[in-house]
This record gives sequence, C-alpha cells and structure tokens, in this order.
Amino acid sequence: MRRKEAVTAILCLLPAAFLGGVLIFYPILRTLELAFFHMDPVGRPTGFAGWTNFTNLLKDPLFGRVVFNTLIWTVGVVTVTMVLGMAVALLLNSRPPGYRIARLLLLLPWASSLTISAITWRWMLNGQYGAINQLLHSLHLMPTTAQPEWLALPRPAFEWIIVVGIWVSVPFTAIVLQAGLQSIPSDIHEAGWLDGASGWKHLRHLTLPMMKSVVVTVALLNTIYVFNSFPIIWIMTRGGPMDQTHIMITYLYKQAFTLSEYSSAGAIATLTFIILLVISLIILRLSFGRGSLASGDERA
Amino acid sequence: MKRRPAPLTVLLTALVVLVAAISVAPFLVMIITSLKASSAIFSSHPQWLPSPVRWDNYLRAFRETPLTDYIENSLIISGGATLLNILAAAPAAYALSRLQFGGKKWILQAVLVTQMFSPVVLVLALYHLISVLNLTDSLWSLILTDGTFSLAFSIWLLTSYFNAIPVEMDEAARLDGCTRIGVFRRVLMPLARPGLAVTALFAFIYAWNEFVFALTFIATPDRNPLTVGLFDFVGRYEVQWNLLMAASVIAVVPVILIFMFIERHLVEGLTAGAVR
Repeated sequence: MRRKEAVTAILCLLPAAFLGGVLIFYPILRTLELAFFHMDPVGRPTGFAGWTNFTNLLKDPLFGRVVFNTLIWTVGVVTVTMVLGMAVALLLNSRPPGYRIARLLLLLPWASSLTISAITWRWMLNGQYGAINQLLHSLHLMPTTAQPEWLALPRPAFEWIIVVGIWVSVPFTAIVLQAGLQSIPSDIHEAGWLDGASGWKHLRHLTLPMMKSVVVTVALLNTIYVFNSFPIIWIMTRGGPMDQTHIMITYLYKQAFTLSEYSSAGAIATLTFIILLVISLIILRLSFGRGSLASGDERA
Repeated sequence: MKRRPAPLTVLLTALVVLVAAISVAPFLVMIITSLKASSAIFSSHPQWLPSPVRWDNYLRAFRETPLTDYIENSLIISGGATLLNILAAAPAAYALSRLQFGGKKWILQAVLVTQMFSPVVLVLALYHLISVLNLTDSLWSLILTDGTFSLAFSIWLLTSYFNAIPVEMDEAARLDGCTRIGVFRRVLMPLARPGLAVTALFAFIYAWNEFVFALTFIATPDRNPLTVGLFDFVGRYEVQWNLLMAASVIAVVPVILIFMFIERHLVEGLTAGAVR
C-alpha cells in the first residue's frame, strides 16, 4: 500500500521533475562547466581552468564598476522600496477617502511587463520631447533652454534606472505588506490603543513585530528580483553609456552574447548565484536567528 | 476606534492622490503619446493633451508594423507555456499535498531554490541546449522555457489550494471506490478550479511578459513576441513614438485586466506561508 503510494507520487512528480531537470538543473551544471573550464568558440570545453576564469574577472578594469553598481542598485532599490512600500501599505490600511482607487492604480506598474514600463520611461526621459523635461519646464524647476538627455550620461542614467527600479517594486511590496497588515487581528490594535500606545510606538512595538515574517519574506523576494533584474537596464541603456550602468546580470549577458566570452559569462553567473545565496542566508539569519532587530523582547 | 481629526484626513487623502498619480503617470504618457500626431510629438511647443486626437494611430500600428505577428506569437507562446505549466504543476502539487513519500521536504526545498535563479544566469547554458535541440528561432523554445521557469511558483500556489480542500473529501471518494488518480481527477481538480484558473493566468502573464529568453532564442524579427518586438521598435522606428505607444497600450491592457482579476489570489498565495 505504502509502496504503491510512493509509485503514484513519483509518477505525479515526473513531468515537473523532467522539465526542471532538463531546463533548470542541467543548465546549472553547464554554467558551472563554463565557469571552471576553458571553452572553444562554439562552447565546447577544452581543458580544466580552475579559478582562472574568476581571477581574469578581477583583471577586467570594468568589473569593479559593475560590482559597485550591483551593490548600489540592489541595496538602494530594496531599501527605498521597503520604506516606501511600508509607508504606502500603512497609508492604504488607514483607509482614507479614495484608497480603493489608489490601490487599483498601484497595480498598474506591477502588472505591466518590465519591458513596456522601461520603454515608456525611456521615452519619458527623452531630452528634447520627453515628459520629464516637459514637466520640469512647466514647474519652472529648469529653464526651457536646458534639455538634459538623461540617459546619455552615466550618472544621471544610473540614477534614473534606480528610480524606475523603485517605481516597479513599490506596488508589489506595498500590496503584500498591506495584506499582512490586514491579517493582524483588530483586537490587538484596539488593545494597543487602549494601553495608550500611539503613532510611532504603536508601529514600532505592535505592528512591526507582528509583521516580521511578512516583512522578511517581501524583503527577501525583492532582493532576489532586484539583484536578478535585467530588462530595465537592458532596455533603458544596455549598460551604457561606456558600460557605466551595468550590473552583474546585464554585464553577464553582454559577455555571453555580445562578446561571446563564454567562460567569463559562466564565472559571473556562478558568482551571482553564490552572492545571492549568501545574501538570502544573511537576511534569513538576521531575521529569524538570535540578536534579531525586531524581536519582541527588545525594548528601546 | 478613535476618530481621525480632519486635517489628518486631508493629509492622508493628498498622499493617496500622490501615490495614485505616480503609479499612473507613465501609463497616461503612454496613452496620450499614442493619440498624438507625429508633428505634435516633435514640436518645439510641447502640448500636454493631444489635439487633434489621432485614433488612427492604432490602425497604423497594425498596418505599418508587424504588430499582428507579435500578438499572434505572444498568444501561441503564452498559451502553450500555460498548458505545459499546468499539466506538469497540477499532478506535482497533488503529490506534494496528498501523498506520503520520502524526500518530500527535499523536493519542496529544491523547488524553492530554482526560484532564486535569474533566467539571465542560466540563459547562456540554455542557449547552447536550445541549439543542440535544434529549437533556436522556434516558438517551442519559448513555450518550454517560459512554462518551466514559472513552474516553481505554480506548484507552490496549487499545493496551497489543494491543501485547503479537506482530506475528508478524498476519503469519502476512496470509500466509494475511487482510485488515487480518480480522486485527483474527480475530486481535487474540480474543487480546485478557481485555484487552477489563478495559476494558469499567472503562468500566462509570466510568459506574456517574458523578455530575456525571447531576446536570446529568437533571431527572425517576425517570430518575436510582443515584448521583444516592441523593444525592436525603439531601434527600428525610433521616430514613431506614437505608434510604439499605441502598440504598448494594446500589449498592456489585456494583462492588466487579467492581473486585476487574480491579484488578490496571488497575494494570498504569497502571504499564506508568511503570515502566522
């Protein structure tokens, strides 16, 4: 009987396991092979490379910039997104007039594809005819003679990319956090108000601790999405100008498909996965391990 | 509950309006641009609202660009990927929800780990695999990859839907002489129909919005789905922003409508494990 059940289970899992095995796990192994072997131009291994492909990355003068950008992009977008997302969630949860419409409109950036959002932002940032400059002109924040081409210079380009990253991430964050807020039983809120806890104290000692697991989950998902994000940067700047707005993921794509540097791409891919794994473990440990920031017993 | 003072209500309302405005602004720009004449877009006296309103831009987008091909490709890819996704995810979720077997925990963890891989990290290795399988430039390459990369979330979502159906239902059917597969087909699948719908729509949107696989595996412009097709516009039809934005509106509207319909269920699926 038991045995028959296990056989049924294996049969049920087979299609998913087959697809995942061929299209996810095999490519993982193949990526490791690319990273640790020398490759000929068609991508066949010609000999063990050890760590050479990784040490070559350190010799690449651009790679430092790429890693630095990845750090700024991930930390910047995730931090601002979490703060704004929580603010919007609390705002919606206080149910001011019009909050239902706002919540519905908030879904737009989440639902539409990153591709189309990024194309639209690229058009809005057009120097001569874009809506951003038009807005700055009509608010008199900028003289009409100034028509900055935002995406043509590395620094403003990267700053705008971060803005777009935040714009696409906040809706998901706010809506999931709001769902978390709604799941807090209302008698707990009322008990808090009766105890005289108000505003910030209420948030700090009641709401946030109860929300901890939702906040951690959302932060973790955001970190993975943002770190792995490709379309926004590829569509807005393709990593340019002068390769100054690349993050590891876009740089990996360029190495693989523009330069055909398979080994270098494999090494970056391996590195990104290790980094992501470490970040995830740190976030989980910080949140659920000892010495946790928001643990209920800690009182400031 | 305490009553909220009036000035605070005004402030909160203002903030809500601000949030709504920032969310919607790029979509307004999209719609407004799509209705402008080319001369109005590239004018030294920029206008906020289109006048005259050029509805025919939408017809021109169909006539002057391969939009019809893109839509057709997107529908084939997303439809195929969704079917593949559900056919693989539903039995897997049934096993994880209802059957006892060793290594279940291990499998659940493996499913979660696959979620962490960006498609971009694996796209080079996948590109080699797709070439070996002779699927380069074929819509099959995208049906297979899109259907598989959304599998983990689908399995997760469906397992929670199956878990919500009382086991007593299975037991009653078993007593009536149903086999396990019979229970799955005659009891769980019909009862989980709303969950299946949500999961299918999620898989559909995933494939509809997918970018990097299409960018990599498809070489012939006419075989592109909407995402990469529209991105191609930016290079090829740089000047015709009104047509590009009209095409974007056409691409984005159905997905937004579907999304508004399933969003609550997705959020429930995401928070189900987290809220305790």
